[in-house]
Amino acid sequence: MWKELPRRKRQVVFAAAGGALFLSAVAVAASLRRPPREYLPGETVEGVTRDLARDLPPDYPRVAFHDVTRSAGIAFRHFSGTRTSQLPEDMGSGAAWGDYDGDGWPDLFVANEVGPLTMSPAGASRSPARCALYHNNRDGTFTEVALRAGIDHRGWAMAGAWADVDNDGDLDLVVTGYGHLALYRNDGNGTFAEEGRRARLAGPEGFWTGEAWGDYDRDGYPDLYVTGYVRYDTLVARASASRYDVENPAAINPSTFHGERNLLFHNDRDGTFTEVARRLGVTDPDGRSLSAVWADLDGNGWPDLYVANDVSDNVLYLNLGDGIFQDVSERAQVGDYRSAMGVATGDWNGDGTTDLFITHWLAQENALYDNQLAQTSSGAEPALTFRDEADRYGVGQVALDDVGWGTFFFDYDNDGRLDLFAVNGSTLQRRDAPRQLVPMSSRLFWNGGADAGFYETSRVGGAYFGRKYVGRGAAYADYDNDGDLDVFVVNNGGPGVLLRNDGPGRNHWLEVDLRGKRSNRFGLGAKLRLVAGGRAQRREVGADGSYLSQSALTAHFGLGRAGVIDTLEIDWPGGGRQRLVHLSADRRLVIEEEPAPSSGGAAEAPTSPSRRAR
Amino acid sequence: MSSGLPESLQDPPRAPPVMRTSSDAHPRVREWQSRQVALVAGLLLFESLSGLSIYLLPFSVTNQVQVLLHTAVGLAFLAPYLHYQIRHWRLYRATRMTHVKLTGYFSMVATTVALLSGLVLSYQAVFWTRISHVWDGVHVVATFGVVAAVLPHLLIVVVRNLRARHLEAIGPILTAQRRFGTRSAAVAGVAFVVLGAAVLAYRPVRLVDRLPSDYHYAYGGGAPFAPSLARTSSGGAIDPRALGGSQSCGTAGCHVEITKEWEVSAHRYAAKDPSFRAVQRVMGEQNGPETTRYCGGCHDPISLFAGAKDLSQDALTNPTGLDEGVSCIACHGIQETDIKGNAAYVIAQPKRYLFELDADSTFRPVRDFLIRAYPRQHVTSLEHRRFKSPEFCAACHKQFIDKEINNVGWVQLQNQYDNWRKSRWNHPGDPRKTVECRECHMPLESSDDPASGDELDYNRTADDGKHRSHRFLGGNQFIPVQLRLAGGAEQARLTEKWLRGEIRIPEIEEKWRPGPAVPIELSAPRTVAPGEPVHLGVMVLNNKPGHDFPTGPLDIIQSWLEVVVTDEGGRRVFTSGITDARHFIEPGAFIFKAEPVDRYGKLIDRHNLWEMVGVRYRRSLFPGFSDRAEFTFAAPARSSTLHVSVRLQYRKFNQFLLNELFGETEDVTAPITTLSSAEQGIRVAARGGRE
Repeated sequence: MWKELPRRKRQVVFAAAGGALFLSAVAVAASLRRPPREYLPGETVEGVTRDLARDLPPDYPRVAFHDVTRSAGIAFRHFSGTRTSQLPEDMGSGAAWGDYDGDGWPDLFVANEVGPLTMSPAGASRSPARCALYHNNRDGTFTEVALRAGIDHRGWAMAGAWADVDNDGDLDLVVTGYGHLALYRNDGNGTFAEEGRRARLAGPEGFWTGEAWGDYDRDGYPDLYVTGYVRYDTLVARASASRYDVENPAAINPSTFHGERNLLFHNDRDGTFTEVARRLGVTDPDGRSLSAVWADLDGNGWPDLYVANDVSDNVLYLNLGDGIFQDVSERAQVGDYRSAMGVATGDWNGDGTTDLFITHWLAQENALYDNQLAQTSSGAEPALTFRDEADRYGVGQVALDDVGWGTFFFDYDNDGRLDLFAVNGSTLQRRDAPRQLVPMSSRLFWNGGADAGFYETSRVGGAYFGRKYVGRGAAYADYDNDGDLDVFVVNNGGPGVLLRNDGPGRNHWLEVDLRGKRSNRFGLGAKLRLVAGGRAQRREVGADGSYLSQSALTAHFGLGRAGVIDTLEIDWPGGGRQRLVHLSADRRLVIEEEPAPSSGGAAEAPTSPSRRAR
Repeated sequence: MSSGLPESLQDPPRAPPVMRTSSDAHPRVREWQSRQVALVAGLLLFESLSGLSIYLLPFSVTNQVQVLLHTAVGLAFLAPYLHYQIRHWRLYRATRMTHVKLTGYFSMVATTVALLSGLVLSYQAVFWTRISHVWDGVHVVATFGVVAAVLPHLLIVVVRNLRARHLEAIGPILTAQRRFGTRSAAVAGVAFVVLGAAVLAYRPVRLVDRLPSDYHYAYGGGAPFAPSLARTSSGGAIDPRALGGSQSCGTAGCHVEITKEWEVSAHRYAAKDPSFRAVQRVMGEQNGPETTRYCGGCHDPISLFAGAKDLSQDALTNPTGLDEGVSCIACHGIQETDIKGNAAYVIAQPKRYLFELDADSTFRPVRDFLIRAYPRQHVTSLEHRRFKSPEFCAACHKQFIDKEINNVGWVQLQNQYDNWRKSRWNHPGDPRKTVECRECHMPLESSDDPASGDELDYNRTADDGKHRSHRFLGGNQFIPVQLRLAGGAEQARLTEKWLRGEIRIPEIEEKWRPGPAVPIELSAPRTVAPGEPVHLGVMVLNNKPGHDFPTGPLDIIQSWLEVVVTDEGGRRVFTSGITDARHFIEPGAFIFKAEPVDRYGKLIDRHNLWEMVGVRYRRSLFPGFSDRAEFTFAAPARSSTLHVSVRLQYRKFNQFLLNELFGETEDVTAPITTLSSAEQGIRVAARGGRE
């Protein structure tokens, strides 16, 4: 039919079709023209960069932490009941690793809060949320033995920390909290007796948070520094109602309350303590203190004291010896004014000086205070200063989203470099459920070397890091004695989490327990310097920090591929130095302090258990 | 039918007599030979080519001149085209419908629409402040229509004639056809020659994008503006004229309102703020003039990129930079920002329109015409999605100080951005719950501005007749008046309303709790016994601010509770936080502020942040947080009633700093704004009988 049409008509039809085609094309183009994509808050906008963001490096360690809480027989739950939006309810709690029965396997104390602050004494005494003591069964499991061991602690406990207060060879325990301090003295057969009042520790009522054991006067007996948070006033909680949109009432805002003084208990060597903070000028009266750590930051042989304060500036007290402390916070440039919660110490970059890492509140980043002593030019009078290099080394900006708490340097992949763990959990109430706090995920950072700094390895560090908790305290220990470090985390109003380190185990390691004779029994403040594979590493016993928590007193070294330790030097707080050479790796040593200051010789006593890494 | 030509080449059967009389030649020959036809075709060729070039080729001087010439030629084309078109139509209307005739009709329609829409666009570009997108689209489509219709219309005939060239009778037609081609090409060629001449004749303002020859590269040649993190896309200097001239955005009826708003805003006086200048001067003297580049990135970008923050410049500023501070282009020219803040941005000079930088030129209206008629460059270079994002604001509203400045290292300072980001106002992906920077600080204003309307925001449309205010109301109710800016008093008045939470922002009203920005609530006993201690509790709540309250340089800003308790005789029984005759706040007041310290623990009290290493006192309220102050006094023995009045006071500058900057004798003091207040009576009565 088309063929029968005259040519002219066919041409007209073609032309008309062309015109129609054009018009259709215009119509299609017009209909295809979508309005521009609506702007959405948080969308990726062209032209916004993140210079400081770091990708996972290709050589990240293939080590993951597995949540083995349940299989290890731990059923810890923090807090019983519903929050009443009062500050003490939200701040706890922590955990402390300590081998209280001396069997070579670390046991675990976990502090707990019984429940809401409005709870009656009767209710509190019935609360299931009591402090727990987990005895290590040496097979990867634990048994909760607190009551059997004589520790029935039901209150608003914040922290626990182990030390041998009477130098009788076993670890005693001090528990802090909203209330008063408790001392559980170890009678050596697996039971404890509460002697806080007898030891003159239990005196002052207050909001006692962090605690740090250290032999500040090097008299061979451990002394105790306790941080006071705020002078909490329950009246404020009752007055917090408002007709306005109060998301976070005054009763959970630490600024509302005046700072509480800190306490320093001098060990009088007779089973009692004397509180000397005021006399020694270390009360930090304005600081709302949460954590403290004893560490010899200026290298003068005396443990200095660094105090992390919430919504008030941190304080560094230099220990000049003879009981003289000097506040050098500003001069040393570590009077960090952000809201600090946890503090970690360690020589992360191997320059021979002890650095500080501090976790902060939201939108404040972490601080990585690099000790500048090693950079001080020779000739100049070495003055202790620090420099916050968090952004440069990858641990600053990443924490803007975090409220950080428990933290420590630890070599989780045994490569000879100190990595970082940081627990997070908000203090803000959930908008949809104000009785609960906003949960967050924690972070793991791998140390990629002194030049590169840290890389976040949470994504490949195990499922735990993908989950959200209201994290607070955290501490590490090699609880299964396999040569790598495991972690316990306490979550406010949530479960405790035991994280077992499961790595390929190709790297070598060494663990060292100290037994002081002239120095305090567990070697608090002893400095270890290990050289292996051409790399020197330092540890200071008991100088780990964290938040309301204490890691094991065993010094742990990752050795990388070095199977032999060239030298291990120990500077005892009592003054002696011991030097051991050509030690084999992958075992745990117990080293006893030599009776008198010596210039050599090794007193090496390898003890079981020491197994190769899995 | 005796011409000997095939039917398809034959004449119209009844050719109009008018054509017959004009010449003896064959009608087709006459049509091809007509000068008018060649003129019309030549002009149409130029219009089509220049139109396509304007549409398809990038912005350039040539394209701008083409816009002008395209418009002029289009106007000149109108009369001859209409005359030709009517005649041509009448000549062929009676012939049988062929594909040639049909494409002829298509051409007529397309050309007419193109002409008409071109006229409308020209009118809008001359008399309005922007052209309509619809007419612009019609014009572009019509242009393509012209090309799509006229080309086949002509080519069919030309090809058919060429195919018939073996026929003797076609000879004259082919000759005429060639002549038509030559003539129309010549017409278009003349137009293009004029275009070329105009392009060559244009003398743009020569910008001097060069740092002074004696400029001190204190931090290495690769970072001329360090320690500021601000960079230019070229890596080098930018002539102040390229970033300044903000006033010209408000001329010719364009962004008049926006310019007026900006003129009194803190962005505008960021550099001329006398307190900023005084602090900068001291910093230059104590710390080295190069270090003031740190301030320049956000306070005085024009001077920074001109190289004025240098040893050789006593004033550490450039006149344009001083006057305009954060000018229009200083913000709208930013191409990239980094979330670390502290002026971490990259700025680029936008390409300019003809005569745009030459404010005195008599050809100035040409600029206005071009921006409106050919707005693509103006819009794409100065308007961007990123301007909505809080990350853009973060470039300057997040500050730290680093070792280049304080020799100490990283110290965090004000950070509105991350404050906001982690606050209750931020719900990524949910605009209905989120309140971003611009939604508060740039509320919508009714407007005739050519930039009004926005279809990207969930609660706006492309023609909502509103623009975002460029007043950037914030916390400074002092400097606009102090500087005697035109409209400064009004800005201060609005800022006070803003601080009190009295400015209504209808478009976000459902997202927040109305009322004071920072309300206070007083709790006091109703009755007390004489001599008994009276406890007052005052709760302060950060209700509306999207960031800490207060925010900004907290070493300068003060907000405090003023408590006055009077007895029935009006005598003061108790006070806290009242100011003395020298404008100082009574010691011991409950106060939001910060006290930074230097490495010797000495107070940083002159905003000498270059010496700051820490902060010994800091109090502010995170969004949604509340704080509580307590006051205690003894109830007087002889009173019967007490009246408690509490006010939350705010001032931008503490008195000590003002005395330092302006001298104590000048008696300069910052105005105090009462943000919220509460009152209550207390009865004083002996407890005896009743209890």
